[in-house]
Amino acid sequence: MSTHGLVLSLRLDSVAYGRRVALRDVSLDIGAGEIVGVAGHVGAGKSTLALAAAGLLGRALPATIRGTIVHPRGGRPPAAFVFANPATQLTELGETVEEEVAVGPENLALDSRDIRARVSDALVRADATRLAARIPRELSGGELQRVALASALALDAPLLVLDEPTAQLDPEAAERFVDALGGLRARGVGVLLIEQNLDLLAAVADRVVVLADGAVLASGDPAALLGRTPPLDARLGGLRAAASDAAPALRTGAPGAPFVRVSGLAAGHGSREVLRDLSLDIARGEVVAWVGRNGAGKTTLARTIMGLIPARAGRISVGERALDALPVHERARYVGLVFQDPRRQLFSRTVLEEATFGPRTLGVARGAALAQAREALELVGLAACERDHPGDLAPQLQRRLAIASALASRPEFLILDEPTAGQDAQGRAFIGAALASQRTRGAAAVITHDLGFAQDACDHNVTITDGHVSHIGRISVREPPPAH
Amino acid sequence: MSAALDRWNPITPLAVAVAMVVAAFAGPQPWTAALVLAIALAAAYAFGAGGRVLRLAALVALPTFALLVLLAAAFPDAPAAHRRWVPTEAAVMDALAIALRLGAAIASLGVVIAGVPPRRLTRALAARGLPAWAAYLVIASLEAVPDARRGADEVLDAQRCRGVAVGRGTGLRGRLRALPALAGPLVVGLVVESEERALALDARGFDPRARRTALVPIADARGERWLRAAIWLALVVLLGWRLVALVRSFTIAA
Repeated sequence: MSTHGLVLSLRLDSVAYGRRVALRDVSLDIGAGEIVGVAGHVGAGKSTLALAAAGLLGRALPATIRGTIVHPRGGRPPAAFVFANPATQLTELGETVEEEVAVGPENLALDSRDIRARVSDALVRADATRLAARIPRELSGGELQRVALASALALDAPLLVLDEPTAQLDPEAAERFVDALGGLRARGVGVLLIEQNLDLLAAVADRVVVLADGAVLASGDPAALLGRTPPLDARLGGLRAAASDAAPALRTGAPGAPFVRVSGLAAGHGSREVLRDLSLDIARGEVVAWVGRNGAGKTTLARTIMGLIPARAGRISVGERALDALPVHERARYVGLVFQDPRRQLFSRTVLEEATFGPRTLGVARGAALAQAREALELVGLAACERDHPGDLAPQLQRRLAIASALASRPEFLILDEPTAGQDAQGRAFIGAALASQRTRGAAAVITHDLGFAQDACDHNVTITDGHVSHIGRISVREPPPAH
Repeated sequence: MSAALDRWNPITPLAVAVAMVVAAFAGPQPWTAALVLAIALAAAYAFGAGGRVLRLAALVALPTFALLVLLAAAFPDAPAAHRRWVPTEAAVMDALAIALRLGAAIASLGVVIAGVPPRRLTRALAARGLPAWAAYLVIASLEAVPDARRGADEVLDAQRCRGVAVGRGTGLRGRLRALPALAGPLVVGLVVESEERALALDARGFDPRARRTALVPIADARGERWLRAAIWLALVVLLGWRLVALVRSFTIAA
């Protein structure tokens, strides 16, 4: 077979991790300057395909591959890769963002002038120039995602494999990312784009491959495949444009005194002030979306409400209760916070035990805790996995388990940080249902860049800009909230 | 402190530290070791890391001295056997010499560790031919403790948010009960992170046997090169002198 003009020629009979077959009968060619999208439900085999295409399987990551993976253009490495979790991209060989981005060119033993040129170019294309002097581990998830993209671009490989590259990007940054993809196409770089944002996929990909249960379900024109009604795969969902995009009426909570009240809040990290005189109210029964650019202070607000970051000024109350003097473990009775990365909390032998841990720690009797845990697992669609080991779940399911663990403790105020990153339509629906259930218990806030989800699941958005609330209003996917 | 040493190529302070260690062990005892220790501590204080380096040196030297004196007192030489539990002056001086040597070595190297960022040091060593795997090993070793501490903080935060009480006022029973929730994710996280790090390195074209270059090459001024040459020469002279002295002492004894 001729591979002229191709940057990837992949023929896989199967890929297995131990005894578990993750992919079977997949063929994929990518031409120079071509953008190929991959969609599929959680666990469909998208990340395995991405790792295989980049030539990373079977080396640092053990797997049994039957088939061939050819990179006709060669290169060292033949493909650059952006991981779904941007923290995975960090090698720690660089002290600053600039040094971290330089790691790839340094490995290629380029001279310092060439390294400098590649780093500058990659930072510009990834919209990360202003982060150059920052320390990578101090960045927000979205900022880290830009650094991960810049690190991959600096390799100047003929093939770029992107696994959920926009999951944590704010809408503006996602738009710039799409522009960057156009630039890559012009340079003749082939792109394999794994993405749960089907609208983005339809907008940028030349063709799309839809995976289901480890095999190719369909491939072809993105708009035609993803825009089908009913969708090709219910778990995956379809284009948002195919569904109604009418923004729901602005829902408001019960009138009267606010249920969650934050007033004049100031907080920061060391000498860096992140929150400045931030005030917001949330009514009982409300679910609000906290939106804003990466690094605006959304996660810092959540951590300050939880007590993990001490407030330098201001007051926080939930219901009639002032939280200011309470230590974190006492606040856990009233506030539930689910982090972006759930791996830092999972430790039990089964999913059910994990979900029971929170209520048991807060003093709930075993029988009642089990009932609360089962109810929460049902809400997030994990009831069938209650005997599984949490470590065996896909990252997206681990995230839903973390949400169930928080729900099981029945906090009055629930905060979810980027809960839909990497989730398919089914997962998003479960998380939406979980949030809806929180309305009867108190209130909830969702930190998200997923405006479609915010429009469907939240009453209104609170835009946070440079550490304070800059806008409160209706959510529309077509019209993102103003940055200022 | 790092700012003070940033003006230098990291190889130069490393060479000075190695020379001081060799001098502390090879020079006349215990005065050379005491002098080296004093110089290292003075440098550490001048660079703003005196407390840390002093603690580190004391942590090794003082128990060593106490143990050696105790051993000498418990098991005296045959001529002093009647003075059990009272060490001889010679035994105390020997213990002091050994403890001072260790203290001097720790303090000398401590100044370099505290004053030169590990990534800068490995870049300088890589420019002199250190293979990529060795450079990574140095960084990973030096970063292992802060990495684990960061991971532990994140686990602690996650579990406190679930109601786990830690810190003051938590009884032994509470701490024991919290242990699996804190240790489990930390251990699993460290394993997963090491796998992810290997994947990240692989994805960035890292070849353990290959030579790496640097975004910012570290300058090596001619004056520093001369200084290092002088240090190596002085070391050769010192070791030669000690060797001659050793051979002469054997000859006289024979």
